[in-house]
Amino acid sequence: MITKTVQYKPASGWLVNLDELSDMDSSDTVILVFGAPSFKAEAEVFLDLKRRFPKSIAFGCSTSGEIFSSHMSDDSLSLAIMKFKTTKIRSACVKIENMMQSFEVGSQIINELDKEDLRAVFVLSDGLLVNGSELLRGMNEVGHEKIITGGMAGDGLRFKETWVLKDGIPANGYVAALAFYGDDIRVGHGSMGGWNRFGPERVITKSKGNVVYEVDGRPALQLYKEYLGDRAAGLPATALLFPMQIFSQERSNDKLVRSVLAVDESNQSMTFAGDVPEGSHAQLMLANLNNLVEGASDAARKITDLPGSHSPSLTIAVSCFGRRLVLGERLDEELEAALDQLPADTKMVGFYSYGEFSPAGFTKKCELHNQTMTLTVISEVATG
Amino acid sequence: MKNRLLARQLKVLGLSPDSVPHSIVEWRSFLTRIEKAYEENERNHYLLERSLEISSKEMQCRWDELKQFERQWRSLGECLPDVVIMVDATGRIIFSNRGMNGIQPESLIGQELYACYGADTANGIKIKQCVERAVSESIACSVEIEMLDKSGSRRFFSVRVNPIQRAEQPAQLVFVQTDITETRTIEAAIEARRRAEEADETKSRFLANMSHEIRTPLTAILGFSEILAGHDIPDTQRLNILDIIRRNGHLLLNIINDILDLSKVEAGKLDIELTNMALLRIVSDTKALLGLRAAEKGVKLTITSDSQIPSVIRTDPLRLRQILLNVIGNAIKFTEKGSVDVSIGLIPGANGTTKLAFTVKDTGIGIQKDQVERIFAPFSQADPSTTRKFGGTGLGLSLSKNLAKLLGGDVILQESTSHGSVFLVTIEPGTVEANSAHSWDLTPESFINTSPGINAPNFENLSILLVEDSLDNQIIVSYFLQDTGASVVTANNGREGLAKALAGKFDVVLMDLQMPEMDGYVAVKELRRQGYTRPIVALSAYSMDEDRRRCLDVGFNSHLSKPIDRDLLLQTISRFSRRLPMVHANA
Repeated sequence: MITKTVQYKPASGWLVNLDELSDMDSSDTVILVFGAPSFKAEAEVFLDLKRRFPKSIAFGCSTSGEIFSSHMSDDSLSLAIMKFKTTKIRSACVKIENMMQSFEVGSQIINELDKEDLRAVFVLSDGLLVNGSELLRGMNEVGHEKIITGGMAGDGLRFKETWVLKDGIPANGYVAALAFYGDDIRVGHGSMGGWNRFGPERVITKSKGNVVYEVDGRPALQLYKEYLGDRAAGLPATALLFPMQIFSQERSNDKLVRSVLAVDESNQSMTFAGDVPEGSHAQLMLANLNNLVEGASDAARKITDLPGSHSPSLTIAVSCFGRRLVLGERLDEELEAALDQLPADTKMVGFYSYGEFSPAGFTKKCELHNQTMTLTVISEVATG
Repeated sequence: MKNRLLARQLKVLGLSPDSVPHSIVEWRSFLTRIEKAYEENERNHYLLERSLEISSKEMQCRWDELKQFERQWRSLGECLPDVVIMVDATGRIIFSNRGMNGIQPESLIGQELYACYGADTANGIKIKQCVERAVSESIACSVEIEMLDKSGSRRFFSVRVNPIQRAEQPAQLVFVQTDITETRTIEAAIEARRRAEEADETKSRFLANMSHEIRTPLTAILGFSEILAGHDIPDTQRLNILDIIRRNGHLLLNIINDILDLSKVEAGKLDIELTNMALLRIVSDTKALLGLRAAEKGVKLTITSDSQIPSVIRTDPLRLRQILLNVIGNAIKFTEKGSVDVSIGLIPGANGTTKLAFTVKDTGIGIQKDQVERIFAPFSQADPSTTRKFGGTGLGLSLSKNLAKLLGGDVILQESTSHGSVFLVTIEPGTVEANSAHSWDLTPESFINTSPGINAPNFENLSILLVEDSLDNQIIVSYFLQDTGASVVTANNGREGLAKALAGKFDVVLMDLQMPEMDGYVAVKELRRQGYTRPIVALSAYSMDEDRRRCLDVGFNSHLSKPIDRDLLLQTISRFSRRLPMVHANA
């Protein structure tokens, strides 16, 4: 496996001469692209990539911040070009019209992939039109033995429109899957949060899917506004400062973190980036910046199947945009902390997302996470 | 450089803490980043302080709610008549709404729960088992216990145990102890009333049946008596009528005896008197009594036994005889021609016991399948029409079955076809002497009626006092006695009888029990008190065992049941008159 990472900025163009990378093009080459939402209007860049790498599979999505090595940018394209030696690569892309189809689309996209020799799937989905929990439930239903990681596309802090690459061009309302085949591919993963719970334990008294209407019998939005004080003006983005931990009373081990995607003043409801079942218990969370950074470091430490330090690998970092909001000036610290734990020559690209996909808990089934740093490490064992 | 953020920012801008920035641009950019970091810091600080404040308010609210909840719960506890106790995982009481088992509520806290019931007492063990079940199965359990209150009277309690599950901690328990003594009393009263009503209904049904059964032969007796009162009846026909009247009289007597026995069995008041007795004796009696009847009908009655039966058994001979007469008598009754074969043997009973079995096989009309269930029910025969043809009360089998059960066995219909039936009578043989096995040769001749029939004995020199308030009975008894040559003096009540007995010299006094002015009991007591030693025989319509015993207790020498059987009367008088003078053993 040969990996090159490249950054593009409108002001300075490609930081590497793409002509020198033309020999990377092959039917088993992936061009992973994480880009600012605004690139949807600049198809020329993508058409250029298609012309340069006609055989390769372009795969990517819009972000709430592009990660390139240990830095984050807001107006760039962050690329990784992976040329595999023995591993076969396939991709699939399915249209989604509304959230109700999430489960079906999840099953459909896995079914569209050839199952034989399939080892792992990396999924990028539209960040706003998809119920991530349902999407993964659908995927798990038909492909639960496979490693599934990935994330939901971002739109900065705007929550307006996200895109996923379809045939190499940004498109709205799609879920895309990248499938890795063969015995030589290794996909490791790790995911951590680092938030602290505080305040009383609450009960979700009224909710439907990922929309929460009442908490402890009070309007959900009212609770958040009270905690945010002056900063309620910045809703929904500022609601990310208070993610919610969800757990059932009986199975206290099964804890998931949910962050707020949208608010509705008319009925005082809040839409979360994943299901919040009625009757579940909840507790607000608050960031301790050092803990967040430590969390990113832990995510890297926990990675399964980490390749040896001399084998070339690519790390895809998918971190929650809620972390970005809280970390502010200290954002790069979490990227550095993660990278510090990985082998010295590890290349890293990634994005700030509206939701992270990673196996969790005892079931090892892929679940939707919020407010985590989720790392996927891809490598190919050297064969004679 | 202590501040990590400041160090990083200098590094990002390519500045060193020790060098002065080269350009104003770098310096501005540096200040902007520092300022931004401060702002973020302030915002985060604001958020933290606000979170702390709101969170504290929320906690206060919850605390108030908790306090209010506790007040409600305590108030509820105080209103409840039950004792409500909470116990922690170590079994110590942490809450009690009131005192329990004489212990004040404040002293209960901290106490071991089992100790309050007495750790090693039956109650303590019951409670402990209940708790163990509730905890291991995580379900509410209950147990009933009884305790004595301060005044020493028994009270009943229901104790319910309900585990309260807590996250990651051992369960606490709630106990609710309810006094159910009143409920028990009411339930007992309801049950007693139900039984009384049931008994009442049984009694009514019994009376209705009895009335019917008695009226049938009475109709014959009265009707034919009426005919007899007419004039121009030839002597031959007169004898026939008399025979009908006597037969119905006997039937009536049988009915009454059976009814009384059955009612006693049903009331559980039939006493069984076990004595050791020779099995041969009962068999020969039965054979003697039924042999003639069978012979009259031309039915062959045989009784055989296998070699292993004991010669002496322990049972109630009266009742066994009654059963055998009934079952074998039935077999003879329903057999027009052919034979009735009775075989006696031992068969295995339940739990390794051995039963004495009488198998009664006839060649009679048999019993239809759909009637099998009814034959053992009182007041019913297989077919109501059989009553008309064969007579009988329909009580015999029911009574026999009940009596056999009292003797540790049963009467069952083993087999029935149109060619005959097989009834099996079993009883407990009781403990008997070992190795007494033998068999008998029971030829019909050896069991011809041996009971001593008295055909008009000669009582010419006997003087008898008859104390009886019923003129009819005076006439009948006087007639029986005068027919033997005895002289009879009558008295109309106890008082008169007492006077006449003391005044005259009678060989035997016959005395009714129920009489006006002075009853028989009082009269006899008085006679005995005054030293009267002659034999006194009770004549009574009271024929229960206890009546008989009471008679003997007050000083009678013997007891004869009404209606008076002539032969028995004469036998009894003969017995007492021969032993004259008779000294009664009454102290």
